[in-house]
Amino acid sequence: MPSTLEVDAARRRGAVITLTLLMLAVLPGGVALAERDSFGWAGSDSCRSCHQDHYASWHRTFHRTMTQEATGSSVLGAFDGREVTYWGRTIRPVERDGQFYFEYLDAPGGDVASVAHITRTVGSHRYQQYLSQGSATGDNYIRLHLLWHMGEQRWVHMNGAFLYSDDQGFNDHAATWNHNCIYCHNTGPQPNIVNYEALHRRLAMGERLNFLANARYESQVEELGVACESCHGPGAEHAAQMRNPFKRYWHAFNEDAEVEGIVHPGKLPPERSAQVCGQCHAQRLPIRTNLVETWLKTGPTYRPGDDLLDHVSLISPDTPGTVTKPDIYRLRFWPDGTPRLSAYEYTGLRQTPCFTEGKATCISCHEAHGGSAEGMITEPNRAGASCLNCHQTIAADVSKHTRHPAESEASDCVSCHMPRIVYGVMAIHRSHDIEVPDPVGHAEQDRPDACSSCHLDKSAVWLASAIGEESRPAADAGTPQWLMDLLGGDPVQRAIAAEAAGQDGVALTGAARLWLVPPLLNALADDYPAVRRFSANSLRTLDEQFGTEGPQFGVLLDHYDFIGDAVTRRELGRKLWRRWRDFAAQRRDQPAWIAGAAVNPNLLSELRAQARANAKRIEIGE
Amino acid sequence: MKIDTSDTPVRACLRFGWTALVMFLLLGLTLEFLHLVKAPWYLDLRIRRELWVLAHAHGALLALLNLAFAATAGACIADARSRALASVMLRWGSGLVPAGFLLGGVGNTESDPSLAIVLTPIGALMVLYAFTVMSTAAWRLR
Repeated sequence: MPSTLEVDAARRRGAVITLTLLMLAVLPGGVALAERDSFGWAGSDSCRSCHQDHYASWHRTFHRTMTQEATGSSVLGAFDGREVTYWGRTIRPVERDGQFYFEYLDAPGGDVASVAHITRTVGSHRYQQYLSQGSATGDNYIRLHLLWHMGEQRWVHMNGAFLYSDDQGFNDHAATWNHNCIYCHNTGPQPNIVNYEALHRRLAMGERLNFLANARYESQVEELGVACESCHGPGAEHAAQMRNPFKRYWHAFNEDAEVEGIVHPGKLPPERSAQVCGQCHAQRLPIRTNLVETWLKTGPTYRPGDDLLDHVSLISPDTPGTVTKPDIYRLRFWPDGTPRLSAYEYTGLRQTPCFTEGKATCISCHEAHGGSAEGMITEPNRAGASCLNCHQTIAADVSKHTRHPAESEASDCVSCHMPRIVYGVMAIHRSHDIEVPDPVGHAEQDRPDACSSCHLDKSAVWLASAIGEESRPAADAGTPQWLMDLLGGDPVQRAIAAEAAGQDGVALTGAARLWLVPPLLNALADDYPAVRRFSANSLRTLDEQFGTEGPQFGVLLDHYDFIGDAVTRRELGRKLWRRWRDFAAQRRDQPAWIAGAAVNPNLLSELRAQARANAKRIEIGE
Repeated sequence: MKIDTSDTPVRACLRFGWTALVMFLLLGLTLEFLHLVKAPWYLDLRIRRELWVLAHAHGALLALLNLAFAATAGACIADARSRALASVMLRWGSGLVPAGFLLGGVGNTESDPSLAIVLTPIGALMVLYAFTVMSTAAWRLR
């Protein structure tokens, strides 16, 4: 029989052994079970473990929601069964059992001719597009015909989003996501074309076929949307290395030391830093023809930190077009080479001395992990802090530099130096080619200018003299540049001018803005939907501002659909004019104002002829 | 249950327990205040929030366990030396664990606490020793 002491000793040994075994079971588990993969992509979930704050700030951006699986939380459109009819076809967006569909009807209220099951969405900020992966297209994702516009809360046919005239087909902008959107709207895109060699053999045998239209894909992405590794590079190696706490703490005490396996855009040289954004915010082509196959199979070769120009050629006005579209790239720029479409921000930045000499980069103003999700700019930078960091002498007397009151919008640096002369995603954006206003020079280059985009009632000559002289120049005898752009410019000029009229910051105030109405009513008859849309929106803004002191277009404008039936649009246009003329007749007590109330018919004819001569399809390339 | 307050380790744990309870409940009120005023240097740094909440929770819990020790050690641990050593280890550990969490949230990075976090596992081992002594003592009771 063991003694008490022997029993106690045995119990002590048992307790020690038990505790030891428990510790051995628990403690090493966190180390031994750490995931290691092929040192490629890791996914943003892997980043979150250590970078919770950066993950959270990224998570609320529109970059994240650039592409999503179509679910009840990601789909933002009204799939309520109400039909829309554009370009002769009727579509009924419906939701059934948590799934979303476009039903294509054979007639308004008619039978369903075909159904597209929506599987993914693209965008969530200005508008949302919808992708379908159907039996007819194999694994290809097709961008469908309708987008949901967030600001206007309505369906828009894709034709209305592009700078084409009404002369478009219903299917003109249905596109294959796999060789188009996939590259910029996702992380680690791999289109994975499966019939590349077969299509080439057919071409080699003399068959006439549209290569891209016949391409079939089994695409993959590392992650839908623009996630961490789009900017920081593939992170699996970094994540694996940083599971070692000694390495992490060493870097915490040596912040300037390079962290292996990951890129910090803020620590790259200025050119390489801007290129991280430029990989998407600059339209480009593979630098060599043989890279086209690589792009179609395994995706772009550029990784953050590389020299982007080793991988791509940036599209410029001089980029050769195609046989059928020789001007396809040139038309994306103003005649002086300034980009005029969105997704050329890096291209524009490269042309400005702020970048070439001042080493300003995208992140001089934008913050990927801070600021408002709208534009990803912090409030201080929105107020010009990033400009005044370098231009400190201007900060001492802003009003003297801008010749405008310091507190006015005109004294914002970007108002003059980054004018709103870029079209993209159904909006007008600021140019990233930071420049000095030059009303006459820019008018000679047939492009809008910061001054004429605000002083809508002034000629370019008058504006140039206003910049150059200390005292106010003489009365303006010239034709307002804005008017010439709105009614006689090319499609981009007309769209920009139409949108400018509705901006709060324009120099015309109060009743003087009534002068804008007749030209905008003229612009409602434009044969480019984008111009009509901006004109109608500007009229709505003005109508609201005028209230009872204005023509009170009200419900007439509510019913105006810029891509609606042409007969209905023209009838509404006539009614709007009648309302305007009735209103103008009541204001004959103010002859000075009424003198400028309508566009001179001769001038109107001349400008319209000019616009017709400027009729172009501006290929956005999306 | 009568507590022998003449016993030094018991008295020490009683004092420590109630004092620590006051301090860490005050810390909890402070953290609530930081929520009230939306202090960005607290709210925006997830790891700091997590560490300071852990400090508050562990500090309060260990304070209560000190009181439990004071209430039961006299009856469980017959040997005075063992009881004294367990009391010291428990008090020191009960101080170091929340101190490590609290100081780990000062000068921390986004992904890790500051190096002061090493106080926490040291304190945890000391607390573990004290609990092991209590546990074995409890099993020896007849």
